[in-house]
Amino acid sequence: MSAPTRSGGLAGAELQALGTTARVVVDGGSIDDARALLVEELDAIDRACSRFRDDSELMAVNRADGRPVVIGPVLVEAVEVALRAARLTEGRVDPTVGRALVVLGYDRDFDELERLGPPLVVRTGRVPGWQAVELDHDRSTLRVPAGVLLDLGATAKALAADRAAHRIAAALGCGVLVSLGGDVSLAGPRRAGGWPIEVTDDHAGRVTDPRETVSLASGGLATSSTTVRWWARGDEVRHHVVDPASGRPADGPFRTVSVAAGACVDANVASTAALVLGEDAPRWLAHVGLPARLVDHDGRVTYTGGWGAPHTTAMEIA
Amino acid sequence: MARHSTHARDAGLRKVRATTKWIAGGAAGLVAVFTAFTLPHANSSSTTTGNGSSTGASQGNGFDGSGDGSGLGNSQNADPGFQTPDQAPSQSNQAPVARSGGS
Repeated sequence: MSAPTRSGGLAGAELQALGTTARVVVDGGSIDDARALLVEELDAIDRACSRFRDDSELMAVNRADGRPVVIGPVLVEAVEVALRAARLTEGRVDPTVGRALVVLGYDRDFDELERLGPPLVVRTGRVPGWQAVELDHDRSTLRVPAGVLLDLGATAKALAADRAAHRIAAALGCGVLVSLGGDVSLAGPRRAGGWPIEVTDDHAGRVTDPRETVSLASGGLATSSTTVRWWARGDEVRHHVVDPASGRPADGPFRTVSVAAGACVDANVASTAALVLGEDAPRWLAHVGLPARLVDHDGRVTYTGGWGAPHTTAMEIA
Repeated sequence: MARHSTHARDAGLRKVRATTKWIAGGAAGLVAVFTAFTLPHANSSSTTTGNGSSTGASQGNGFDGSGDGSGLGNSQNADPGFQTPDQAPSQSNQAPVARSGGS
């Protein structure tokens, strides 16, 4: 956990959580209080939704062999959000990709994963599908068929950013930015001039990546990329964005997609779906009204939905 | 002899009618009890499955999909779709306070 930083009325703090970097910035409020609330929220999400903790509620459901399991309100909300994501994207973002990720080799916390390994032949296919998930609100139970593994990686981190930002803003009465591994959520009173946020391939930021700084007034901004969470088995490079239709890593023309939306979780759902959709992504994003920045494998940048592009590299999709 | 048979037949028919009434009444009662028990549950059911949205409709992503070529969004339901931002991001010369990238 790093020491708080202060600049021009803003105060920020960083810590490691959910296998990534968490950052909170407040506009006038107590950074110590903000950080304490962030830690609480991240802990609640981790205990409910982690695929890498034996004691998480999600793992209890995955191990239940088809029986319903009583779950708490955080996991209820997280599964609701995941099912909504699947509906909005017609299954391009699907919480039943857990088994596919394990088969592909992503079976433990990413920091513990061997990045390079010997060739591994695997059989993959269409994932079971979000239609198999049964969430009973009256009984607060969740059931998936035996053998189905849920993975909430495409939505839970962004949901955590939204929950934390709004909770901190409500408690402290100030403007708040929460970033979890580059999924950014804003809450509270608007800041004059907006919040300046750098957008790039990797939230940990290699200087060679194409990057730009944008101002965001409210809502959320999320980036999905195939360039960071990757591993190789033999000559085959794999990453964590799985196409539910094939059970294999998405292989479209874009390596990184950033999306702005009214909430961080919507931005993250759309950015993930865009990687899965591939070449149709710019038109789809324009149709759903979400500003986006898409980077292809050669580093060319495409803008859509009104994202304010720099003059030098702009290619706007109507 | 004939009178005795007639009496026996009439008595038998009365028994059949009485039995039929009991069966019909019992069945009606069971239906009423069953309906009273199940109707409130049916009305308040809130199970979400992937078929989700109960009617089998599956979309709500904010457009009808016509001509976008993505194959998405050809059906509709009550889901309001994605939350769009109040303002699109604009280029900034300020020093960034956070970074959005893959993780």
